[in-house]
Amino acid sequence: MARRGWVVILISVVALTLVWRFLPAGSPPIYDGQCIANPYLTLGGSPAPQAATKTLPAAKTFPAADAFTGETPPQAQILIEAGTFDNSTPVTVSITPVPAPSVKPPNGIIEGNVYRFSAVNSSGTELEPLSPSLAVFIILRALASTPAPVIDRFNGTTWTPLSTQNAGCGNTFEVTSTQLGDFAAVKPGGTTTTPAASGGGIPGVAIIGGLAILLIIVVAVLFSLDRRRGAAR
Amino acid sequence: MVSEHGRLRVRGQGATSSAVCLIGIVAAAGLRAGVGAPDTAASMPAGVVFAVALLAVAVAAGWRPARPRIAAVGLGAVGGGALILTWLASHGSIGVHIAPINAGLALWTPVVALVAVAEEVALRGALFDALRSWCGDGGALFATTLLFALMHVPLYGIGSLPLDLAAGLLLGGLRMVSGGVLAPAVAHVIADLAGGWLL
Repeated sequence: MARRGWVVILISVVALTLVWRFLPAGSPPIYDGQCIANPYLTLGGSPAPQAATKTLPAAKTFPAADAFTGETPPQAQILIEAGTFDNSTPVTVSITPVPAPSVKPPNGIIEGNVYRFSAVNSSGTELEPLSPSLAVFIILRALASTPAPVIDRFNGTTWTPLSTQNAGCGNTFEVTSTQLGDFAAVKPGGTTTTPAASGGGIPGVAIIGGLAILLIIVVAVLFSLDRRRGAAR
Repeated sequence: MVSEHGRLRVRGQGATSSAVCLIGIVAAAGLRAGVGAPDTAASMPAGVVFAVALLAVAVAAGWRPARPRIAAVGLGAVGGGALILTWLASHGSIGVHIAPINAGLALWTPVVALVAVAEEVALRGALFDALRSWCGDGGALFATTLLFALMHVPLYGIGSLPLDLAAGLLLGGLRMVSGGVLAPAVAHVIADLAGGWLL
């Protein structure tokens, strides 16, 4: 078994290298440790939410890059593939919390801050991905995971819901977008969520009780099976 | 010499234990999700409940700690190093900073270590042993790796599946090489703690 185990380890190290190479994560947690999630910081509150700026020097090809705000976990992040922007001059990528526009999203209520994601060249011209195949990854922290929020993009006049995936720690969600602009997490439905520090309440007491009883039964059955095995020996 | 009847009986017991053990682990994960909602991944009480439930399942299934071996600890440390180095290498640098010690980290560290150890004891201890007596090493490795990855999808999203499959495979490999849960538990704890301690 040991020799096969070494082969498995070798294969897994190659797999890990490839996974990390092609699926870069924005920030820790790198594996499945409990995440540390500080209270969500709302624009206008104290302390204020942070902005982020990263300037990339001129290069032949725009390098793979990321930027994220300084909270734990970051409330807004952007991951950019290599070659996404024209990098013949320095490019400054920035994330800024901005007041929500008066226009409401069609699919629910904005929860948390609206963040403006932008990339500008040295002359201040706004940049967009060079082709639709070069999307950027926008990751936003929401206030809750249930119901699952949707990240919307605001183009100056209307909000557009985007296909949103759970990105893990601290109610973070991600979308891919072929355009920059203003993004926000939108809670489907009509009621707002109160920001929580971490963890949460205990909804569905009946479900929890049922699972606890199931667990007790499982433990009893396993004890019984183990005792029977012991007696057979 | 073990008779064919005896072999079949052991396999049958292994199948029953595996199924009940699996139900217990899934129930523990469900309990964690229920207690920790709406942000399960960040809920420390939910993590503690999950760990205690997993340990109860493992002990009930007959898992008992073996005598610790230095070699297993060393192997686990190398495995944990591999988990961290592949991450650091993907970021193009191996320069890291240690997070400043604060009350949050002081509480977080033992909880994370407890959850990691409990996952290893339940998955690559009790469940792995039960599955191995039913469907061999390959089946046990496949099932525990898949379950390990699926367990983390509700916490970290479907995007975490490839990473957790690869990490689970490594931990399963450590289990096979060392013959116990100490090596994968050490590797798992190191990798998870790195998420909080390394910046």
